[in-house]
Parts: sequence; C-alpha cells; structure tokens
Amino acid sequence: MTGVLAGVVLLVTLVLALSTALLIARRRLVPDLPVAVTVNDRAPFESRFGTDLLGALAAQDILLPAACGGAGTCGQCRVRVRGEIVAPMPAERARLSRAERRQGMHLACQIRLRAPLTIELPEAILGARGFEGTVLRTRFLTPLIREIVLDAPPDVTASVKAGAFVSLTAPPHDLGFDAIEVPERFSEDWAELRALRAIVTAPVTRAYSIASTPADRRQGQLVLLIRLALPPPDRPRLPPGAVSSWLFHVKEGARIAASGPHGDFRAQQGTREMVLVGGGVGMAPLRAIIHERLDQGAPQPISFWYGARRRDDLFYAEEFTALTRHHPNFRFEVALSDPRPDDGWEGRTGFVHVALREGFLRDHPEPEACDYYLCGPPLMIAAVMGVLNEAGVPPGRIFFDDFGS
Amino acid sequence: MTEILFAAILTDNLALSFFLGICTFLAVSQRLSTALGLGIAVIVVQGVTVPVNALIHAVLLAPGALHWIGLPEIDLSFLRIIVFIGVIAAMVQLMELLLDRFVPALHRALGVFLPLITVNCAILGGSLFMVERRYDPLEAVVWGIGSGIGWALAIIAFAAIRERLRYADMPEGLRGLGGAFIVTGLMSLGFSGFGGLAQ
Ligand SMILES: Cc1cc2nc3c(=O)[nH]c(=O)nc-3n(C[C@H](O)[C@H](O)[C@H](O)COP(=O)(O)OP(=O)(O)OC[C@H]3O[C@@H](n4cnc5c(N)ncnc54)[C@H](O)[C@@H]3O)c2cc1C
Ligand code: FES
Repeated sequence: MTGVLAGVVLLVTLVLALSTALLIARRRLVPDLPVAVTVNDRAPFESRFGTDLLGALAAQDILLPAACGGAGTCGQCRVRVRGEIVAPMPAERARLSRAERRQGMHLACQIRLRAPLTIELPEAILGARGFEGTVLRTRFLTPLIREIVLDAPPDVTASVKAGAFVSLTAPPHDLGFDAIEVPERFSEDWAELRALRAIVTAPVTRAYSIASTPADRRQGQLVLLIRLALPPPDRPRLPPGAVSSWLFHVKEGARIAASGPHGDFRAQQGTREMVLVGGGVGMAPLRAIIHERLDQGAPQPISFWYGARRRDDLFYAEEFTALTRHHPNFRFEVALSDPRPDDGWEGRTGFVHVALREGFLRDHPEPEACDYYLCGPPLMIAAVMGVLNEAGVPPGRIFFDDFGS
Repeated sequence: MTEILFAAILTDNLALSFFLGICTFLAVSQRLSTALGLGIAVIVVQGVTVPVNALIHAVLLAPGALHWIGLPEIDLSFLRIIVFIGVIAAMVQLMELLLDRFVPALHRALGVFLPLITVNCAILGGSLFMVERRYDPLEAVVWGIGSGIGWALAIIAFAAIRERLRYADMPEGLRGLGGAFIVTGLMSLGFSGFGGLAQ
C-alpha cells in the first residue's frame, strides 16, 4: 500500500515540477511583449512578440498576396528586411533565389516577430486593400473558362495597373457540379463533370489576374477569367479545385471577399517591341497589358501570340481582330494545336511556341531587342522559354506570370 | 571514465552499434547543416536527461533508494520508464522553445523530428542503459554526454556522405533511401572496428 502511495505521490510531484519548469521557461522565452514594425518610412506600428509578419501586416490592412495562406509554398508574400541578414527559413531557401536572399528578401509568412523590424514593400502593395466585389455578370467563354465581371470600389479599380491580380476568398461550401448552369453548346463537354462535388470546410483564398481594359476599369469593373481546376486525369477521384469550383457557381449579385490589386507583372515602359505569348486563362493579364499599352498610344510593334487546342477554346478573338484594324502596330496570331474537322479552321496549327519560332523569331532581325511577356500553362511557358533561348533572347527580356503554384 | 567515454562515442555508438534512433537518423540527414543542428540538440538533451534520470533513479526509484525518508523496503524501479519519458518530454519541449527563440531556421528545418526526439529510442535507450549498467551519477554524466556525441557524430558523418552522394552516379533504384541504408551498413561496419581498439 505504501508502495502504491509513494509511486503516485512521486509521479504527481514529478509532473507538477516539470510543468512548472516549462511554464517558467515559456514565460522567459516567449514573452508577451509588443514589437514595433516599420514599413518603408511610415510610422511604426505595434504587434505582439511571436506573431508572424504576414498576419501582423494583415492586421494593419496591409494585405500581401498569399495564395498559399502562409504555408510558405506560393512565394508571393515577399518583403525586404532592412538591416542585418537573418538566416533564411527552409521555405525561403526553396522560394527565393540566392541573389534575392542576399538582398534581404524574405517571405513574410515565415518571419516571426522577435525584435523591432523594418521592412520595405513596393508602394503598389501598400495600395492594396480588402474589399467586397459584386458579381455584375458572368458568361462561359470556353467549356472550362468563365468570365466574371465584378463591380469593385472605384479607388481599387483606379489603382489597378495592367498585369495585376486580386485575391478572392471562397467561403466554406459544399457544391455539386450538377447545379452549374452551362450553355447548351458546351453541355456535351460537361456530361462527365456533373458527378463532381466541391466540399470546402474553411475559407480559401486564391489569386486571379485582372483582365480589365482601361475602359472597364474606368467603369469600376474587374474582369476575371476563371479556369475550372479539374482533378488531374490520372487521379479522377481527387476533389476539383476549391475556389475555381465555387466561382463557377456564383451568380449575379453575389458578393465576393477580395483584396488587391497585387503583383508586379507589368508592361515595361519605353518603346521596345513587345511580344506577348499566352494560352488558356493566361489571356487575362496579357489582355489588360495589350489594351493599356495601345490605349496609351504606344508606338512600337506589339504582337500577341495565343495558343489554344480547338476553336471552342478560343475566346476574345473578335476583340483582338478588331484591335488590329484600329492599331496598325498591333498583330494578333492564333495557333490551334488540335483543331476539329468541323472547326473550319484555316489559320495556324500546331503549338504556339512553334508558331512563334516559325512566324516571328526566325525572320526577325533582332529578336533580342524585344520584350517578351508570357502567361499560360507551365508546359507552354517552358516550351516558349526554350525557343526564345534558342533565338538568343536574354532571360532578362522575358517576363512571365506563373500561375502554377 | 575514459573507457565509458570511449565506449559511449565509438564502440557502443547508439546509432551505428545499436541502431537506435535510426528513423531520425535517416530522415534528418539530407543536409549537413540540419544534421549538425540536430546532433547538437541530441547532445544537449542526452547530456541533461541521462544525469537527471540517474539522479532520480538513485534517489527515488532504485530498490532501497527511499531509505532517506524511512521507507527502505519500497522499490519504485517499475516506474522507471514513465518517469524517464516524462523528464525527456519536458527537456525536449524546453529545447523546442529554445530553438524556436534563438535558431528559428533550424527549428523549422527539424520540423516534426524535433518533438519526435521525445520518443526517440536513442534518448530513452541512453537512460535505460545507464540503469542497466549501474553507472553512478558521475559516470552517468560522462555516458550521457558521450552517447549524445556519438549519435551526433554518426548523423553528421552520414549527412556529409549523403550530401556527396547526391552527385554520385548511382543506379536509379538505389538513389535516396536505398543508398542511405547501404551507407549506414558500411558505417556500422566501420564503427564495429573500434571494438578491436577497445581491448
Ligand atoms: C499570380 C497568379 C495569377 C493567377 N491568375 C489566374 C487567372 O487569371 N485565372 C485562373 O483561372 N487562375 C489563376 N491563377 C490560379 C489560381 O490562383 C488557382 O490556383 C486556381 O484557380 C486553382 O485554384 P482552386 O482553389 O480552384 O484549386 P485547388 O483547390 O488549389 O486545386 C488545384 C488542383 O489540385 C487538384 N487537387 C485537389 N486535391 C488534391 C490533392 N489532395 N492532391 C493533388 N491534387 C489535388 C485539384 O483537382 C485541382 O486540379 C493565378 C495564380 C497566380 C499565382
Ligand atoms: S503566403 Fe505563400 S509563401 Fe508566404
């Protein structure tokens, strides 16, 4: 009996002693202190010891793009930390180049506040803010791409530069694909998708490029092109994309939580010839850039090379053809990789990188004197990078927006 | 004393002679810098927990240990494992706090393997061997630190070899874990050679 009692007393005392020791250590090591954060040259604000910088900034309405929600995988929440270089976190090593790290670049989601900190952010990001957009209208452009036009606050649309994107947040939802209204002409493509179901239990945020023309922006409209993210063909049992599925369900009048504008994909100023190459929803930022430059009266030649599979996947074609009529310096070329016999297609066929090589790079006197803007599926970007490299275009003249993260 | 230190580091190397803590050994040996960090963490945890456990064992658990409060007939040594694990758990949590505060990059790099040290068999093994071999508290200090150093040495050498191996032209199927197991085996063979030195 005394043995059992002694054992119990011993264990209880030990656990109490260990817990007390840990509590004291914690109090010492993780004090509940204020920490000052300074952004650019503004007045510092206070946050608490141990919070992550991304969250601390968000609490001040400084919304960095963060498509991965702080997991350290999207690499969008970049900040430059002034002062001494801090050892990079593993996620930062994976997402930031050596040169960037040497300049003090960090991922805000990986930094925990422990001492006063001064960071630099592009002024454009400080202009970003949270807002609510109202869905004005929607339409299907291709079987899997939906155009959504959002009515946004005028100060937001006014601060949009072509190439920027907004972050949209989908609330928790459970939506069957049988509820999506699909136009008659695409019903065949949709037959197999009806069984899919998107179930999301916590809010999810994703980035979508703004396709608005300057005229759209003046009307306070954000045009977004959403591609439905389907499960990969070899793993059909996976759920469809969380946010894109939800965006295929939203109806006119719905309100969407958003923040922006974000991003640094931009047209270079100056008069270098511009070549834009895109596919799929890569159309979005390229459309914005083309309209903005032509609207500004850019004098240089601008050509837009767009790759699609078949006629059904091609959209906005009339709009760009019309642009070529008004702007002699603008050229629009489409390559269909897999046209159907009944498409009646007489234009270029094959992949867009081949079309670019045969129809542009080969006969151009100075391909290295142009600026290249790429946006589209990762495979397409890689192929185009390949032909540009072959043609001797230095990497510094190639700008691309990478959706694949 | 020197024999104990020598045994702890080389002949009785926890990783390469007893194959204790091999899960962490294989998982956290991709990068030399991370392995170095983990190695130091293990030395500290081992260097503290073994002596503390030795003390607890001598004063509270061993048969007859409680004679100082007049209960010489009580034997609490059956509580050994739960008490040792409690001490190890507290020590690892302290380690987590310390690393998160002062070496956050290492804290992140170790990820879940840091808390997993709590149930790392090398750590508990260190304390249990100490009891089995009836080390006195001073010897326990030497054994604790020594076995920590031994384990650290093994993982650091292993990580350095693995970093080199990344550039080796190995057959497809052996890249990664396959090669790692072979290297572990060869290193263990090498360490068994120290057994000859000890005599
Ligand atoms: C700067 C930027 C701009 C962008 N602009 C646009 C744009 O203009 N238009 C656009 O459509 N997109 C754009 N994107 C991409 C967009 O942000 C989303 O990544 C995309 O819509 C998919 O998000 P989702 O939530 O629908 O899919 P997610 O839920 O993220 O799923 C992505 C894919 O993974 C699959 N999947 C689900 N579960 C698993 C699992 N367990 N394992 C493996 N795979 C799984 C899904 O089926 C789906 O195919 C942009 C991205 C960035 C970074
Ligand atoms: S939020 Fe995605 S990397 Fe920081």
